[in-house]
Amino acid sequence: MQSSESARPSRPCAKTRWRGALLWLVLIGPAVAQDSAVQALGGLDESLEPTRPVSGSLLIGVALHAERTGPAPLLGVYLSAAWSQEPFCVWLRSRDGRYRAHQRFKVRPEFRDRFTGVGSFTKIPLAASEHGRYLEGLAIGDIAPLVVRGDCRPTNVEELEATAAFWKLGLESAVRPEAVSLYLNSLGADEAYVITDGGKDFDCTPLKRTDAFEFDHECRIPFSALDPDQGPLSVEINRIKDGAFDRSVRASIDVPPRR
Amino acid sequence: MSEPCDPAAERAGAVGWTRHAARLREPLPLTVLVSALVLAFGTYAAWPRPGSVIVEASTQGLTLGLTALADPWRLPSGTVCVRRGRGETSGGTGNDAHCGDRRLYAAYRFDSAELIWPAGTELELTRTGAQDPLSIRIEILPTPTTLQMKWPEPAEPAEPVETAIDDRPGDIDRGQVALAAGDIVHLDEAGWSSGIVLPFSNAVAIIGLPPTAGSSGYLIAGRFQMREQLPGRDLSTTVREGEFLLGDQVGIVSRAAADHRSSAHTVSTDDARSFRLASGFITAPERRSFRGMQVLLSAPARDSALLIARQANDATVRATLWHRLASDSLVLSLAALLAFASAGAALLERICTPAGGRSDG
Repeated sequence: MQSSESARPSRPCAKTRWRGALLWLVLIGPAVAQDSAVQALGGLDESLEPTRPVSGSLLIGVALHAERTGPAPLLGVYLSAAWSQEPFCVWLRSRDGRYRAHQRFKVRPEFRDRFTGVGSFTKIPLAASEHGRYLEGLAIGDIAPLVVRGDCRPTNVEELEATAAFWKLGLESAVRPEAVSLYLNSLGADEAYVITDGGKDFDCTPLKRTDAFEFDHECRIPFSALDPDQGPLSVEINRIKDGAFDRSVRASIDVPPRR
Repeated sequence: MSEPCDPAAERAGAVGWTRHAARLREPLPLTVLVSALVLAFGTYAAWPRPGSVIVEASTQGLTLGLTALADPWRLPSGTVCVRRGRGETSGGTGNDAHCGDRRLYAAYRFDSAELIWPAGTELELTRTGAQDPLSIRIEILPTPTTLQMKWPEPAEPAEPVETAIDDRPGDIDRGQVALAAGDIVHLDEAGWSSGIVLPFSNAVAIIGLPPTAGSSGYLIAGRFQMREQLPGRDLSTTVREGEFLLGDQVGIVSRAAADHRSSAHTVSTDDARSFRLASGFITAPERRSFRGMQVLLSAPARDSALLIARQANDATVRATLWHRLASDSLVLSLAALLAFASAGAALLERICTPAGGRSDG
């Protein structure tokens, strides 16, 4: 696997860290965007509500976990060759449901050859947020990134194509992820679990927090449990409610191969 | 060079000095008295007193984390739904009236049952409609626990024994089922609404589940009281009270947790250290036509605060010094008496002082 931008990683001062990431967005972001492998197709559509609206989507986010957290970039995705040919949409939704944002991107034509083979990690040049102070208070796990192919349509569908994203992880640590997490809005399920195309079964853990509104379960799939050459991960998300199976959702998730 | 001595001036100066000294000395006892009163007042107000935080709520959902071996629960008639393993294929087909899909659960009816929850158990209790059973879902069960059941008459299990779970120990023929996380115990409405009490103690309790899309375990209504035993009074006095709104989540947390909430301003409900251990009980609603369940929760007031999570925003409520003072009739009476006495003293001084004495230049 190659990293398209690991040769010139962004390294803000250790003291500034997250503030630095925001500054990077606000001040340097547009400049970086010029050199980024992806370009925005339209602005950032975001909202921060005083209370959370009701959500009906099931799969809210797909995020990578790594051993350590890092400063910039704020958001990155794993892009394989298939993803380099057409636009994709980045969704960000906070656990408390108050913050929602989405923006469309596409890989610049001159960078498409970087995403051949097993794919690469790349930074996403999100536009500057108007709600920096709120976002500043969020940690990994407080926000669910979801990167889906195509337009920014509502994601309440029975089949979904997504690629793994990382939030507040250094690019270097995201290259060696330990696990991928699916964040679910279980719609009041008693139990939720994920079955992979290899027949492996993973429990989803309820998020016992008073603000678990937008997503209330996390299904963590450790890479150690997957095949070393695992390609796109096909998963079936199942829920049980009131003694019956609820509607299941299938998703294909692009994940980096395990090293 | 010394000034010439003028006896008249000296006398006049001595009289002036004496008068000033007298004016200084007069308020001294009053200052001491007021200082002593303020000190006594502050000591009295701040002195720790026994008290409790009491929550009474009507709710459709409740989460209980039991940190110590609990009192036995004697259950009325109901059904235990034993969760089958996901890979298990021996399950039946169709639906059970109480437990649902037979591929998911094996159902056993009982007339009565008894069990003791071990320390570390976490339960989620829900009841929605007025005619619905009370559902006790086992979220965490750290050690094996057996539900001892008495079968309905005649002494036969309603469910054929071939649906028994292979990997569960327990003698189903003798009415014993080994419980595990994921199992659900449904208590029949007719049985438990006749006044059955489910007690708990040393528990982390959250009344109400988040009112998200699809969930139904939300809090309906309720109120809280912070009560303290005031000196000289037989009964405790309510120092602060309030009501809850539909959909609130309520728990009793430690003051330290209330002071140091996370950056996201919410409390993790599985962080037992944030919570004060509470005791209380669950019972049926006052009227059979009411949905949900009634919960009473109490914890010592010392170092406690009430957490009210409302629409992803947390707030903590506590009884402060001012709440104490405002609700203490003794303090209010003394304050009124003191104000009255001060006003009276000032009035008397004004009346009794000669008119010439008030003008000194």
